[in-house]
Amino acid sequence: MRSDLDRCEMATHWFLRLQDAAVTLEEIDAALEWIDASEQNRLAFEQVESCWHLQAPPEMPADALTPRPRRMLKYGRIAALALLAVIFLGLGADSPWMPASAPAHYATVVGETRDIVLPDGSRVTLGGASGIVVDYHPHTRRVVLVDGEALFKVAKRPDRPFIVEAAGGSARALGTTFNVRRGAEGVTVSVAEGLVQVQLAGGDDSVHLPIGNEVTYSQAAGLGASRTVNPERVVGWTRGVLTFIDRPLVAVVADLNRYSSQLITIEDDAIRSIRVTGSVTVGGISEWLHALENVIAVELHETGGRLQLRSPRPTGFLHGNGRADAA
Amino acid sequence: MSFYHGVQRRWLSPLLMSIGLVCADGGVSDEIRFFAIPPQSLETALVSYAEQARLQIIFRTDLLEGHYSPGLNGSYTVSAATVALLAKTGFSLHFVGPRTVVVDAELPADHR
Repeated sequence: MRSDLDRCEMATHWFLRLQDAAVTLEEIDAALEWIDASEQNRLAFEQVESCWHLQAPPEMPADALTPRPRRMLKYGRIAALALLAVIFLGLGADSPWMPASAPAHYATVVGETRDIVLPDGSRVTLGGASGIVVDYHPHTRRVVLVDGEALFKVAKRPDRPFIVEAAGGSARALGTTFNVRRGAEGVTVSVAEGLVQVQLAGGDDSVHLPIGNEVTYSQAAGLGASRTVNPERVVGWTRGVLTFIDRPLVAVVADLNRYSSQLITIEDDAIRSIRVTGSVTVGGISEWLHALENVIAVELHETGGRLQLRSPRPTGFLHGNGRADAA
Repeated sequence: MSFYHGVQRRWLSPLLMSIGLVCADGGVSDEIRFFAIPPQSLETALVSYAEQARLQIIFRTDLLEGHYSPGLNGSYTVSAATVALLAKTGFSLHFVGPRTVVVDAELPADHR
């Protein structure tokens, strides 16, 4: 009994340290060592983890979950916890206490990124406005990407595949580093290290992606052709640099909106499909969008905390040549 | 930048090359960075250039379609790297924000 109590205390201690932004590398290593030391330790840690997520404040108003109050990033963690609570309710959890094997949920708000250490030592960097559900079983490690983007550094467990599911497909790895992003074109899996198998649910269609390759799939278009990608660029967003190689503007804007403090909208269908290439830092999004005015026929308007991209000649009410008037 | 057309890149002294970037402000173009850009399409080479120069860049993908770059290796000022990378390509960069560049297509000198 005594040792169980100690174990519970230790699990709580390490869990809280790992939640702390000031956690040191030594502490992370020590925590992982402790978790891996025995199956009981691992179970205790998972139990603390699932309890923690259940203690999200239930009285949090649903409004707080929407990304609309974009400047309130300091409430990110609270909102994320509230979101976790909603996900739990949405899944129909009958009891407030879940067994140790209950899936763990993680979520971020707009502009927030978060590093998570999973019970097996695998690491996840969760992008802005993103969410995952971690569902570990003795023989598989299953993660569902609910929203946004996540980078996975998978601890090697040859007997226990690591599977990321998103929108009707999955990426399967044994020990590697790869990114999964839900975007306007579908789900994109990019490999920064090792080998990943990408498969559509219920189909034979699958592809093995080696390092430096990526593939996009969707329900509508199926599994696309794999293409090369700079492995360093795959992890670039975790350092605040977003890179877009030949992407339609609508997809670029959708990705930017997971980081932009101001909501970006495209007001004109004609410009949605224009393909652009570029690189932008999270802190320089507005400057970068202004640069777009020099690149394609578009105007950027800042109104009511929003950044609106419009064609320079909206039909109807603006007498036509907005650009000539401005000159 | 058509001044440089036909001039071998290796003949350009760093001093001469440092005048390459149009409308640079705030001394960004004088910053010295290490560039390691392997041969690849000009499209992705310019993205690598921007990442390594710590600049933002944006352009229409079709503008550079079918163009290739021999790449660039070594320490350069940001503007020298621009000249070295874009020599003889018919393209140039210009600043439209403190740290943001866009790509311009230049007509070949004999077509003006």
